[in-house]
Amino acid sequence: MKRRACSLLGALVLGCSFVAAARAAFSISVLPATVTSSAVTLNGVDQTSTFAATITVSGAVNTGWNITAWAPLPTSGSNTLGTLVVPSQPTLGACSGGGCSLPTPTGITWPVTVGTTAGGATKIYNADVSTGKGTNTVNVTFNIPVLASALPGTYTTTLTVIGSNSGP
Amino acid sequence: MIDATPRRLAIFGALLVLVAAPAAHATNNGPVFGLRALGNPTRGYFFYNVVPGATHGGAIIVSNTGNRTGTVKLYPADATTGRTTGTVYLTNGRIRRFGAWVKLARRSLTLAPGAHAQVNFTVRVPASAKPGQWVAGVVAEAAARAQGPRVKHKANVRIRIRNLTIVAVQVNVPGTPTFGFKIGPVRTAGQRGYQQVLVHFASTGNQLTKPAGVVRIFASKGRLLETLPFTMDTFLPQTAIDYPMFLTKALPPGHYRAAVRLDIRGVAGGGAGPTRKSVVADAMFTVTRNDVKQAFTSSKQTAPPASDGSGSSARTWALYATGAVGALLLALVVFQLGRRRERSG
Repeated sequence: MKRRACSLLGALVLGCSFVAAARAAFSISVLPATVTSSAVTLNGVDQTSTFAATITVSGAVNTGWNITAWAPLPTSGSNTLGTLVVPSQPTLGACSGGGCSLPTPTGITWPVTVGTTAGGATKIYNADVSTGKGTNTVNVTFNIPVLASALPGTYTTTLTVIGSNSGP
Repeated sequence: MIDATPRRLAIFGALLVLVAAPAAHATNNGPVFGLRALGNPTRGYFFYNVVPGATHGGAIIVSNTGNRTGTVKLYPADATTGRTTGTVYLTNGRIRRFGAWVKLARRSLTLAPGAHAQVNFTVRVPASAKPGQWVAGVVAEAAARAQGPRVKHKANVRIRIRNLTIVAVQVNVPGTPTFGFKIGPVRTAGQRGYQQVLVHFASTGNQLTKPAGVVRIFASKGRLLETLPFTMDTFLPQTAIDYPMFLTKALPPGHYRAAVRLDIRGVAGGGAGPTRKSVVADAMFTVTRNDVKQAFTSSKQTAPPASDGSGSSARTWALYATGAVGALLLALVVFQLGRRRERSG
């Protein structure tokens, strides 16, 4: 009886640890999937169009993590706008999950100009070693410069947001 | 007389879809794919020592922590040094460097919410591979992406957001470690009130490094104007960047000299190791009137759209518009039905 209880407990612990291990996978999700920046009425002076995105980072280990981003210049036909900029340090929501901790960014100075090619991807936020554990939400505001010379139109671009455990 | 019931049902169905679809979209955040480096719980990424001509096997665990079934694309990617240093991945589909060493057993997976699967891969180091610390990545990208509303204004930007999760694969090919850097031209850049100095750095060694250093800016007559110390994140071997540093005081148009010192430190235990070598260089650069104008143009900041948790204000407007169109269609159907009744009566 005792043996059966022990083996049942063992199986339960094993099962729970497998589920926990599966859940510990590092992931990011970004909302919304599509967004339209604030409309700008062209008036002959330089302006800024803005939009916000919420990045949820889950399953980070002790090594910390990085969020990098790149986006081609917004285009409308042959017309283009300026490079996306993260003007200030993103804000954080409360962390969740057992033993969670808020991320402490390191080595980034805002404003950060987002690269326009995959090779020019730029770190927009990160978590130093031993920080940012559990699930964290990072609220990022992006600015798009609309110069005085910009032409009217609906411009489009694709923002690629990449999450990774702090690697080599 | 033709029976109108199927048509009515079709119209009702269409209306239902029209009204229900945006509501469903507003609450659905879809599949979320995570990656875990199997067998590397503390480091969180793969770290292999492989001799030229040999193959090493590994596996990732792919999981869906979202609330919808979805398909994830899996592919290898090259790594390089990001503009502000640190490892970044070339996720535009073209593999030219060490990403080509990684072969995944599966290129896509469909996973239900809460499900996970193991995907094996191999790292084959070519016989001609040179010694060094080389980095690639394994990428998980959601194959299906939600589409948002399209709106028209005078000048706005519609942004589609891709989100990728990547796990690094570091391959150490044994041999003599070398630490080297070339310091190239210096120039200034900047926009919207910020002036930067950009220094070109190129790694000529074969090791991952975390360099630090200092840039001193002198006026043409030799007076020290600014001292800019910096500490870099990981710099990948055989890569080059124009490293940006913010100037604390704006430089007016003129000629300047930059004295650059770079202390090359290897990567040890996630941080920087001791200095292996120092490189110094002097570079002349010019700030033009146009450079200053570009950095310090007047601008009026506009407030970001209010966050309601479901996206942009444009989406809210689109929902209103959809509702209005739906109501209009409904009124049209009721009007048509009324007319038919009148005719048959």
